[in-house]
Amino acid sequence: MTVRITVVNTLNNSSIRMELEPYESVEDIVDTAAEYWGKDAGAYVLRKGSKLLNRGQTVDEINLSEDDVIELIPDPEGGF
Amino acid sequence: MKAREYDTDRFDRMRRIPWLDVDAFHRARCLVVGAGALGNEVVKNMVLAGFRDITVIDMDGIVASNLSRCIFFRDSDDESTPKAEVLASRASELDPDVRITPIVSKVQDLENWDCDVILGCLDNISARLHVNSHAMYHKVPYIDGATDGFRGKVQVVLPGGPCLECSMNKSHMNVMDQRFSCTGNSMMYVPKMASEITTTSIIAAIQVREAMKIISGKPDTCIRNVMYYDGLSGTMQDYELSVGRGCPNHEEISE
Repeated sequence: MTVRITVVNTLNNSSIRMELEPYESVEDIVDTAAEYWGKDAGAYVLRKGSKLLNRGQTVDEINLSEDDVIELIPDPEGGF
Repeated sequence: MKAREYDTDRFDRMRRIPWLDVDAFHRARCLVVGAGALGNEVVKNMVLAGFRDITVIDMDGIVASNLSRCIFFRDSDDESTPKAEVLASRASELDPDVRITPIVSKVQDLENWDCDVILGCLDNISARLHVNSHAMYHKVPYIDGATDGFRGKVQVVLPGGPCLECSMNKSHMNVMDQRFSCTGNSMMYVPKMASEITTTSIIAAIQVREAMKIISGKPDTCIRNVMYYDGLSGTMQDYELSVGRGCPNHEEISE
């Protein structure tokens, strides 16, 4: 069953609504969000509650339901 | 007992934390990958905490823009001065009993991964994945730090647990592709990223604190599994991570 969720970009607090099928993956969500917020957006991870989502997990497997909110967190790369 | 004997032991105040195993710190063999901003802070904290056997690997020389974040570098240092050697030499001045071995090389050329803990102080995903895979293969705990301006993160990878690669997705691969495609050869382009000392200090301190827990035999108290820090709001949050399906570092588990 199709679910509509909100993805929040924690970098600028903007959000998008996304319509997802049960078989679609975390990778699909990251791809779509990165495309929406710009291709040079860098590396991101997604979190739902206190869990980081693995790229291979599907919408069904992470129990996404209607109106759930997940967050896109920029993944820092520096250190030098 | 001599009067004020407690003031003659360098580690007396640390020994008052009952579970902290300072003697184990003395014995632990530690590998610090990267001698830049995080590397300086990590090594400083490790030496002060009593770690005495540290290997530091870095291929770069010192440039002026390092000086705002690197406690052991000086104006008189220049690009011909390897970061690893300077860091090893000056950090050793903090404690005469410490032995810091510098290796001036790419981490990809490192052959000896025989150590008790690895602290990652890197600036790119490619090198992180390299260290991550060796840490997983050799079953050595790996504590990775990263910063971007006022934001940072620490990920603790324990043998058998979720690793750096488990948390990555196509966006990380895209960043790696961009780094390599910029140069058009096998060299990698690493853009200059925003960085400042307070966030660097916090992330490095947390990395060393996690190493102290592991070496003290308390890995169960470590960050599980990734901690994100936001210096603007002054918040930090731990997030759980599971082993990634198809992660090459967990093939035995995934199958």
